[in-house]
Amino acid sequence: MVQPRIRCNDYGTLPVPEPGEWLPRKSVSVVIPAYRCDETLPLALASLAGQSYPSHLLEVVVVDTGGAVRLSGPGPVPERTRVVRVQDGGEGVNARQRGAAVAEGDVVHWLDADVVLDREHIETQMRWHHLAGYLVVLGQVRFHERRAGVFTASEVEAAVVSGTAAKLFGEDEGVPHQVMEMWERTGDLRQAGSDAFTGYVGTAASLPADLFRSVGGLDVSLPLGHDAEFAFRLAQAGAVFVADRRSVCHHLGGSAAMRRRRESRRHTMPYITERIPHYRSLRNHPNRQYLVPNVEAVVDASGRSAESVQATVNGLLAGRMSDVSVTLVGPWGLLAGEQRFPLDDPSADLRLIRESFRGEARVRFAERPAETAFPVPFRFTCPAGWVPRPDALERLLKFADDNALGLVSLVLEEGEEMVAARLERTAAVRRALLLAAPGEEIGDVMHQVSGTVWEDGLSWGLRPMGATDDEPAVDPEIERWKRKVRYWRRQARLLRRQLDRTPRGRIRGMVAEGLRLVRSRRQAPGPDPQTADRAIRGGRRKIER
Amino acid sequence: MRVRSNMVDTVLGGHIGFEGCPEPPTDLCGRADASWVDLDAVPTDRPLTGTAVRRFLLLARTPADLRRVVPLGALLPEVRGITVVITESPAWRSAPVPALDNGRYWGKLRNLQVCREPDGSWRIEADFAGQVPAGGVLRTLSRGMTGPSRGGPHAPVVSLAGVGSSHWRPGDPNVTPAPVTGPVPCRNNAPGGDLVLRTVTAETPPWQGDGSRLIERPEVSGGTVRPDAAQPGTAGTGVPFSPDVIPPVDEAVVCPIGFVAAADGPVGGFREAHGAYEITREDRAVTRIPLSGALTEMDIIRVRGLPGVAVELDGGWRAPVGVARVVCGLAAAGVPVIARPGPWWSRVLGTELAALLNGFDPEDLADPLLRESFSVRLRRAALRTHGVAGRWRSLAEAGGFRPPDPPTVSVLLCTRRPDMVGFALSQVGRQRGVPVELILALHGLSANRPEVAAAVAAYPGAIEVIEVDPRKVFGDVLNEAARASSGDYLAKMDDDDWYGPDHLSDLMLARRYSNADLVGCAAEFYHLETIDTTVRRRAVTEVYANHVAGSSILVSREAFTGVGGFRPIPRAVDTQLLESVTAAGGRIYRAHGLNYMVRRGSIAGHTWKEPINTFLRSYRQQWRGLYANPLMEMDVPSPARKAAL
Repeated sequence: MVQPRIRCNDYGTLPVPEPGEWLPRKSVSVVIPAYRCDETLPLALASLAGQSYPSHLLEVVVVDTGGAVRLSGPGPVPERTRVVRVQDGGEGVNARQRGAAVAEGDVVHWLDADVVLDREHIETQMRWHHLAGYLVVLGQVRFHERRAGVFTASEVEAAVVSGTAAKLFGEDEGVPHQVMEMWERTGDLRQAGSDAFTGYVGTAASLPADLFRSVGGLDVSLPLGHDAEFAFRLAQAGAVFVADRRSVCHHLGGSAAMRRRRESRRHTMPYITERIPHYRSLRNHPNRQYLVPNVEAVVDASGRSAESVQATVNGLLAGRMSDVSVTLVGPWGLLAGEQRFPLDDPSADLRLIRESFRGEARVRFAERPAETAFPVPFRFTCPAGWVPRPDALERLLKFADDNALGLVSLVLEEGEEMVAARLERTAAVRRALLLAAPGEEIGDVMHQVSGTVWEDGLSWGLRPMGATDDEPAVDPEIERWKRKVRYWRRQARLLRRQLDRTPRGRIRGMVAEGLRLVRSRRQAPGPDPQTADRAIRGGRRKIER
Repeated sequence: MRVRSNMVDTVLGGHIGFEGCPEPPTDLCGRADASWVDLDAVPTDRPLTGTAVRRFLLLARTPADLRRVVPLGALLPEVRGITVVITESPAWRSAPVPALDNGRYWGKLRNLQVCREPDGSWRIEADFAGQVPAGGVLRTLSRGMTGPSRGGPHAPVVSLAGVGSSHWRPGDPNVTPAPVTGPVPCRNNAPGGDLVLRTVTAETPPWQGDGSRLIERPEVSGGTVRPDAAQPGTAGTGVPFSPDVIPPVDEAVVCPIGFVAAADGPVGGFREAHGAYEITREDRAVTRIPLSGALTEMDIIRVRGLPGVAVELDGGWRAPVGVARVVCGLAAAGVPVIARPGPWWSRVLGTELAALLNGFDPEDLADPLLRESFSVRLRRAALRTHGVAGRWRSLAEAGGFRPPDPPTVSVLLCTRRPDMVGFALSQVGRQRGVPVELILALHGLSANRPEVAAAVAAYPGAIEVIEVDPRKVFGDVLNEAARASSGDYLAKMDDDDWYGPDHLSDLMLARRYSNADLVGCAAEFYHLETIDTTVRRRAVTEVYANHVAGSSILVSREAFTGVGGFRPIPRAVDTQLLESVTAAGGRIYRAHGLNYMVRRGSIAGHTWKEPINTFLRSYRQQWRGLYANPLMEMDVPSPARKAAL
């Protein structure tokens, strides 16, 4: 399948068909973690049994973590439903991960056990998955006060089949999930750009099974916040987030669950701060490192002098953005052999470089860089011998974000060969790798899915190492403040001069002078030291002029 | 000297260009005792006054209005002093200093003062020891502001009759005014004009005398076209509607000079209010235009900040001719006009302009590059069809005159790279709209080399190939090429740059409206081959300047030979030519850069002084790969490759 190339998160170009007017081919596995949900699960299964999506393409995996799920109970159940029992369960992430692992469908669709679906809930999401293989589709969740027990599973199935599931709840239209505000603001995520993943809700979301596997699945070590972290990694893998309001799902028992969600915020924060660099405001410490840094800088050390590599790496580490890791690429394996007398060692420079950063936790050594920086959102490749100013990375990242760029190439020097540095957005690279036809240049595809641009390296604060030695890389912030001081000093001087020129000021000055003379004569016969001093200063000023 | 008492205090004043104003500000001339006439409404039958006049005052709103007085020069009295006040003039115009001519009366000059008042108006006072023709003085003043007219619309010689007929020959001093019923007076034993243009109304008496050279057009008077002259279908005189029916656009006034590439906010509106047309921004009038539709340079300056002007053509206008003239004028100035002319309007505006207007999507105004390309296309269509030169070319043909041949251009193309000859010839071969002769100077190359011979054989137009000794320096090679050429104008082109098909014709247009001796364009577009990226640099265009791109120089042969050609040096010959032309008193004009793209190869292969970094330091726009704007008419680019910057 030739996949459409979506720019940023603007999926509006996809020709999505109306429900009922297209031919489904792909199979879907609905994964439901079940824990203490004897009342609601039959209702959820009943609404799945009434779906418009063809039943032979629909598989349901109920992940039972409480050991209490029985499918033989009253009420309809989809044809292809199985129960997976998980011993070490608890609710949540582990169950989902296990369910997805055994799922056989082309698409994995997460559901909670306490929901009732509209008839076309699965179909509306599945139509997107037939258009492209890198979409994460999100359904609309509405929270209803009415709980289980009011209606039976058979009633639910009947209502779903007739397309009137919403009427089960009578007057109660339900409260929309709070993420809807963000959808609202961004044209259902189409204009959300790199923020799109923050619109992810795991309650009714679906994604291709291949995509799920390629990002490494869910992080089961997180008790909370795993949805946000998973969505972040999906975004770094190049996924597009589609918010489909027509895929409706009714949550039984509403606001309590939402309240709980808000309370959990405090318990989620440390986990996501460490893992999601995208939330810049959470990383407000001036000089800290995190589990997933914001930028991976790659410096190729092979064949380069120790001094040039030191200059570049030190420059990178001295930046105002401390949230950076450096990967030094070189044939480090060569150093394993016995050590020779340093002056005769052919790999002396390599050894010096290795030793220079032995204790620096932010520097890693690698024989070759990984294909992409995933899940680190940016990679900055800088040739050894070029030194970024302290604000260079910060400015470049802002530039890339403001202009939705996937690749910023910086010309450093044009000789026989072009010397260039580059900043790449991992999401754009991964999406381009996913989409590129054989033999197609990745840069061209990146340009289609984001934007690529060439800039002058010097203007972005990258200088050759010699130049930075002559002229120490002063933090431009300091320079800025110094300029301000100079400006205001000059301003004050000008105003003072103007004041001197105004007659009122002069008169006041003369009067004051006169008074002082009179007083001094009254007080002491000798010359007043103050007046004498003033006269001298006045005289000097005249000479200056 | 004895002064006759009856003429001591006789002061006559004429004002022009104040149709939209309730009262012309005649007090600006500082003479309360003057009697005033509206020069747009005076008949051409007799001189302004029968009595002797001591001093003539002219109050013109803009230089454009002054230019309409020039054809009426013969009607103005002989005076001993003259005061001219021009209430507003654009910054790009030269100061109104008379460019003295052959008139012997200049020997009587006693005093000449040119002052700029704090309110921006110009005041010119000239006093003479004896009687001098006021018309002659005004002629030199007008010429001082626009520069001497070279290759202007002066053939045929025209006689104008009727009120407002000077709208048809603005700035032309070689006009003989004639009485509205004729006949054309003689001028030094010859008929005063080869063609007569008469403005008429329903009551105008018939023409007396030879009618074979007579052109009749509806009267533009008192600032409006007479309603009876404005019936759809005819021009009121039985002439079917065609572009020739509306008075021409004075291209020395209403022209692309000062085009502003960056404009935002809402599109301007167009309405009739308080006896004038108004162009509005958010319902507030930006400028007022008389109902005759005669635009001035100040009107153009005031609408420059608008992204475009929308004109509802079928708005039940009292005088559609005036509206048509405004639309043509705005288009000629490169103001993006949004209008949808139907069949009737297409006949008036001309099919080319109408098709352009109908084919434009107003959404494109948001993109500065698309807006500018549309503007350039409008200028071309409007200036060619509705400019004074174009209009009179068409009128002369209709009147049985053979118009002068269009000026020819010799392209000087010098190369030492056989592999570039084919490409270079293709760039010259696609030039259209002007007669082109190509001089291919092979610098140390033999014309017999197969690549060269094949390219020359495939070249469609006139070509002359010269082989130049490789030991000669670049300047000399170009001079050799110039010596071998025969065109009225010389254009220098490079062997590796891209040129749009209208490159030369746009430069010739620019030469006409700017009146410059040397024109060229800005080097805005660069294809950076080493990184396969196209950038558009920031450049100020449509201005008088000291510098233009060396490979786009177009210079009149007169100016070229006047400075002795190129200097015999190996490089920087272009900048040296610009220096020489400036030093010789010539003017240089820089036109838009949309027809030209520089190929910037690797640093090893060329004499590039600028490192590639400078192109990326500040650019207006950037594209991945080779991008050519629509005016280049190259079939490489896909707009999807554009960078969103």
